[in-house]
Amino acid sequence: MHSIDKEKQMLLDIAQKDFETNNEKNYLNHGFTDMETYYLDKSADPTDRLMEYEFQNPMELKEILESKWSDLSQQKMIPAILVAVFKLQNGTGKTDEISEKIYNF
Amino acid sequence: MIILGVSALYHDSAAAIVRDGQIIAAVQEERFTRIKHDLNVPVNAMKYCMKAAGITSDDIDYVVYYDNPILTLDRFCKNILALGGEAKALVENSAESIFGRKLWIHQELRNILGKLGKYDKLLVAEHHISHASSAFYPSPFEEAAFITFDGVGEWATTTIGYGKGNEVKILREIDYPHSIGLLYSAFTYFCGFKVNSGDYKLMGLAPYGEPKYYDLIKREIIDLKEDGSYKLNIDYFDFYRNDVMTNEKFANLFGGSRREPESDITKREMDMAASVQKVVEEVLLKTARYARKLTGMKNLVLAGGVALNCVANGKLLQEKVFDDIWIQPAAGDAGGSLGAALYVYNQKSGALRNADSGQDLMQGSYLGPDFSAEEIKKYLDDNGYKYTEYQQEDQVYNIIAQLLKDEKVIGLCNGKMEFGPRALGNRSIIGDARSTKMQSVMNLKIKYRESFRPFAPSVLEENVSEYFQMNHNSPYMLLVAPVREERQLPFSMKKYYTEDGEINLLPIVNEKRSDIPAVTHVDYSARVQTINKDTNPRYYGIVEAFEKITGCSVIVNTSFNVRGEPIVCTPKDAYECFMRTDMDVLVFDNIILHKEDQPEFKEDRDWREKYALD
Repeated sequence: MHSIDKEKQMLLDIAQKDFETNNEKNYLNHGFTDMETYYLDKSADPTDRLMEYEFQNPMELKEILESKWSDLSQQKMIPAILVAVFKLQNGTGKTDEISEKIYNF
Repeated sequence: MIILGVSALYHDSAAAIVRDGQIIAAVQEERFTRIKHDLNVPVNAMKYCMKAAGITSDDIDYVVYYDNPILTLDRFCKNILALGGEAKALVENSAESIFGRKLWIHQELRNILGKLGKYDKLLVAEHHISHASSAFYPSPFEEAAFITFDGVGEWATTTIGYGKGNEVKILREIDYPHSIGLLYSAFTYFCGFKVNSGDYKLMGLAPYGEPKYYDLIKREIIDLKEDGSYKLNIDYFDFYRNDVMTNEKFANLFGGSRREPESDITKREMDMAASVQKVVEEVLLKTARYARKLTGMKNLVLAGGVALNCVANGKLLQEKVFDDIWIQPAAGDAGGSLGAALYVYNQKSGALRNADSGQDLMQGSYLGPDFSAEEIKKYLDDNGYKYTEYQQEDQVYNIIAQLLKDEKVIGLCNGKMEFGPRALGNRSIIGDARSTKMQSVMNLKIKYRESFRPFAPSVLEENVSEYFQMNHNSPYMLLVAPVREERQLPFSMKKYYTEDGEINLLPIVNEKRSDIPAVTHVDYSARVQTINKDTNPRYYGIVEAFEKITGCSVIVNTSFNVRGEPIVCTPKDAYECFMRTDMDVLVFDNIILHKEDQPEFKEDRDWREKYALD
């Protein structure tokens, strides 16, 4: 495995900033809540829970993640994720043309 | 239509192949690599499945993975955002696995298979849909409610829904970090056992304790509603930010730090095991009652790792919340490979599902490799191992029955290997259930495992109610029932209490608690396997022959392995395990080997170094 330390730090920096400014969205809420039920109602969700899974390089993954995440703080994490994915998959540990594109996203 | 299902990269990787809705083969990767709970992409398991189906990867219509990596990434990232700087350990521990492997599962599978089905596209099914499908589609029911419980799969930890015809639909869900599977694992960890493999140990320990902490757990750790939904107080846990399950606050709640693995088990751990077991049973019962009301279905199917808690399953059966229940024998992640494959078949084939036969589709869960007499003899001859081959099966059954009666311990490596964590007579070590010494002999000299752990009985299906308070088939050893009262002997654990309130575990297992003591736990319970004559005629024949000479149609059945080792697969695995332990006899179908006839067995390396304690 190749070093992805820079990307890990980038993820943490984004997380820390978001945590400090926007912690009320923290889903890891503590203690109990006085609710009648803790079930999430999924009966209106689509029945089909199967998808084709395909991308050849991290730039295609970017499109998938952008469509999935509308939250800005998550969008901000995408470049770091993509570079980490690219480095690990490519096995070079270097930032080359593709990862440069991602950095410039 | 041929579909290859794959589960990998979490724990218990496996592959399964389905042809026109029929299950052709299914097997865990650990059986080939000899790495317990192996999580790697199951190259060997996939190859075996294709071989069993007589196909190459070119013949596969769809390849499906049992989990959606994008949803897992979603959880990972939201977890990081929720933790801020505290996420460091989480990122360190998980980033490479998620970014480097899980997201690239399609490429890793393509590298192995060449092409991913006829469209060369990997399908991914959601984790709990895979579990639910593994429970519903092979079940004998036309329609049923389902419940899935596990640690976590993507976001979900618990789901309720229904299966009907070709459809499987999730109606309710509980999401991470609130997880009954992780709650149980936290107690497993705190009591000094390994998460996943140690969960059975905690369940086995529970009857030695009293549920002293039940109220405390309900008050402080889990808020359980009448409908079975729950929320954990994550103040007591560390699993969402670290690679340990519990924190100091949890330790303080239970009067001190975590038990060190392999150290003495104290009354505290026994009571904690009993307490969390009671909570899990309550969650399951309340969820089941709600599922019945929500779906209106008469039958229930279960999957997910928590569905392997056969004590809770037994309570559910006893309470008759549903008319009937069926549990996937590979209820954990391994079964997800099969569930995903069956889900794709039922979504894509257009063929109507038919459950008219009243039989499940699992074929006894005997879905793994088998070996011909020629292959077995070649291995034995090549190595100079001594054996006798018999022509008549009845003759073999009678010999084994007599050996059992003489209190010999016998390894069986017969026919197709089981899919799932349980040995069901084809990769089993068996003994006389009437023997008082059998439990401690098997635990300490054969399995090299903790003395307190109980063994399971195998009983002829039609005789189950003669021995156990149960009138239901349990072919996959997933239901616990009490030994019949008239067979029970007076027994009290009180006399084993020491002055400081601890319990001396070792002598307890040697005390006779019924007329089948080797399979009677300290609370008179037993984890029953019923043997069906049509599903496994050879195993049935052995127990029937034993019954003829003893009047007893129950034997001890434990998995053919030592502690930390995956269940044996090949003749080589079986022979090596046989020679490393105090087992007396080894059987391969009609071939019998006696320990005293074998040449001296030497290994370059001590096998104990090979298998880490589980």
